Amino acid sequence: MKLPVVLLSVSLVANAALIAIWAQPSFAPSGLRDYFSGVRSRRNPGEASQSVASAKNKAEQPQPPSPWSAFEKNDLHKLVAQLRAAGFPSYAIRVIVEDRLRDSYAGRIRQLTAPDPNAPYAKMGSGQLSSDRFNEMRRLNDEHEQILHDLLGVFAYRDSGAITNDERRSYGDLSPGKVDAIQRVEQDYEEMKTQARAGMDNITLPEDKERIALLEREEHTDLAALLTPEEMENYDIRHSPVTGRLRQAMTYFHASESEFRAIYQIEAPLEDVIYPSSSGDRSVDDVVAAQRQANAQMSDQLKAALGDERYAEFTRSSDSDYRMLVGFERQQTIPDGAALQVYDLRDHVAQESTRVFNDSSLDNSQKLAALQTLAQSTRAQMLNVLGPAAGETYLRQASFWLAAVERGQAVSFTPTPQGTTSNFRSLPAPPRAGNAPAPAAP
Amino acid sequence: MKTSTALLGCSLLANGLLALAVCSKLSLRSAAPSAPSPSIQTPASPATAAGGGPEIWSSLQNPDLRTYRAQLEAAGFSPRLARALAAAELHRQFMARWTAVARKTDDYPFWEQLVRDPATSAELERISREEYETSRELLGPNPDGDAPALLHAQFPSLSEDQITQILNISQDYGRGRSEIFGSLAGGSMTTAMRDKLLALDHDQHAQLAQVLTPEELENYELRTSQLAGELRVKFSAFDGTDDEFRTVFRLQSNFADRLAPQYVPPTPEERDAREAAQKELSEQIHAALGDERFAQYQRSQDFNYQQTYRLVGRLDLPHSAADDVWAVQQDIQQRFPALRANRTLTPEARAQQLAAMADEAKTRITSILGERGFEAYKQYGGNWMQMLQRAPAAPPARTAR
Repeated sequence: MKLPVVLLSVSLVANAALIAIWAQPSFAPSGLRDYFSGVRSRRNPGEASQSVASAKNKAEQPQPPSPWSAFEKNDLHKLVAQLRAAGFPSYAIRVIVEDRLRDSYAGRIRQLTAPDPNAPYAKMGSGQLSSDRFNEMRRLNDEHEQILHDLLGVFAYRDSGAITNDERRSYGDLSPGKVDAIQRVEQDYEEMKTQARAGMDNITLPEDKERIALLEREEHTDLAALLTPEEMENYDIRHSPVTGRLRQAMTYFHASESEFRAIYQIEAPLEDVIYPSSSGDRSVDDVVAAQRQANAQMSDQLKAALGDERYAEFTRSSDSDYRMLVGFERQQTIPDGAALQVYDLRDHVAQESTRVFNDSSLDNSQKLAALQTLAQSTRAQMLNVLGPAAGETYLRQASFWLAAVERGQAVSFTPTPQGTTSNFRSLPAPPRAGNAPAPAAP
Repeated sequence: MKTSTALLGCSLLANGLLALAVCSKLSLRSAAPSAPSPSIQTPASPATAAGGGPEIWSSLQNPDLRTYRAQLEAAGFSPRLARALAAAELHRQFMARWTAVARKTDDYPFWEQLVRDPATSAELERISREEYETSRELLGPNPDGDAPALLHAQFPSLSEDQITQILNISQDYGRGRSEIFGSLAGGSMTTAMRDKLLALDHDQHAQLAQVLTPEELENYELRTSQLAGELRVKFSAFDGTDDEFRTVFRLQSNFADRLAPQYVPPTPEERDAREAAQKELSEQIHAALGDERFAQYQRSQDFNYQQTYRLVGRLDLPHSAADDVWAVQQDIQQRFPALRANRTLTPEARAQQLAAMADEAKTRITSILGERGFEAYKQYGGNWMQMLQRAPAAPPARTAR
């Protein structure tokens, strides 16, 4: 009796499934669908192959192109034009172009300059490439630079059309195109000079000097072809070794442009005498005598040009003690004004040590005691003004003249444009038993 | 019973009718041509049509760098290029902030140097650090960068992960050093700053020791450390083997704390301690190299000998020529004090004998180096000969610069 109920249940479920398949044929099992496809193809072979083909076509239908695929990547000029039309900014275009060039240039240059992992520890890093590698590297660099400039113009290495403050300081108010051209010349010659120097192993023979001098003359000629005479003069003063040497003092002196140019015009002609690269055939004494004379001449000319007060400030800015003290003020480790206060203590020590030294009412032991007291009290004052951290550092620097005073010497300081010269006078040594006292040292 | 049977009969009839209906539908459906599935077509791309329109760039933009990078890759840019563009965008954003802060101290004339106050330096350092950390977090390491490639070339046995960690450590500690130097504001280093720098050196070494095996660490430091660089200068005129280099490096490393870099002038006590440490190290190097090689090593520390060694190389002479010149120098320098101190000589006689000694030096050295070589030697290694030319004079005044 139960069997009819079971059969009824199964039949009702089957009816539900059949209704669902009728409403949505995709619910039909795939085997059933395939069967009916096969029935159709047996009745109509042509229709079947079309059906298979259409399914195959659907699978092989090319994917729609990605946006990047639409850009002409093998023609860099077209690529740049397309990128600009698509709204890409300069920096993004530069990144994309560099990526296209990377394997051809950066990758190959890297291979040429790669360090040798098997180089002996003591010999690695000489910095010199073989001439073949160096020439190939230069060729690749030149090509790479040329391509970038052809494609991107002034945006090859800058995002905006303007030069930076650093470039303005180096070259003056020139156009970006001119600055780029100058920098390409500089880079080109710097590569050649670096390669030449690497081969010198820090020994400059006369032929090396001539080779570097030739490169520098040629570089100057190439630059002069790009610049007006006024621009060239401007370039020369900005890149002169005299200016390079003066910069540190100028940073503490805060010269106006006219003051700086006056100082430069006085110092430049005497550069080779005061800072000779070699003594040549001259004796050391001759070199020193020439330097002394040139320094005296320079001091007189600077005093006349700047006036006494500004000259005093200029020589002070060349003094390492003063620079250290001002440095502490800039670091904000000492209060404003403390630098000058401590610096002036040095002049006080000079005056006082000289006074004690010359005081005929004191014997040598009394002079020594007075000088020791002077040194110790100065040290204490400096620490008091500067504090422990800056004070300890400054006293390490100043110890050589303070220690001399403590040993019984009078000190004097002569400021010069090249820095301060210290002079010491020693108290005579105590006489040996039975001998007359020695006269005081001059 | 009759009801259920009747119901069963109806249901079975419905089964049959529905089955016919389904078969009919399926049969008809397979006969109809397939309706084309809607193809995924992008709208006619302006780039394809006319080289691109501004909407392409703007469509790729996204303030979130990860999304920006993903959109670039989805648009067909290679992973390398997508990363490079995202990195460039990141840098551009940070440069804008950096430039705005730097502008405060950027306006100085060409005849002065840049000086930044500590607050500005610290702010710039903070911005740089933030850029570096953001780049690491959002973009990850750059496998195509120059730095990893250089390290791979130098240390081919290290894994990519080790290379990445080494670079991260170098950059982290490099930043720490930059912060300290940035706080100088053109001034001098204090002992507190020096101690911080030395601590950074120590910690960096410890960090590298966690990434590399002891052997790998030593090889890395033998090629990249400051100590190894200083040792290469000392070895430049020694012609030492790799084993000798490694031996001296190991000994010197043991004195890293006692002979640490001097960032501030030493006190007398520090100078004495340093000299004692140097003496102890020399004794150990002597024991390791043996008498003959140690004598050659000591000689190679002399600046004049180093210059002479390099000079003979430039003159294409054998290195033994440097030893011969050195022997002449030693011989004359040993005889010179006695001549100078000889109170039985008149000044004229002393000057005559000094001149003869100078001529002897010139003749002997010229026979080794040639005339051209002797001229160069006067500048490179031969300045000791000046003592033979100068008349005794008071010590020159000391210039504080």
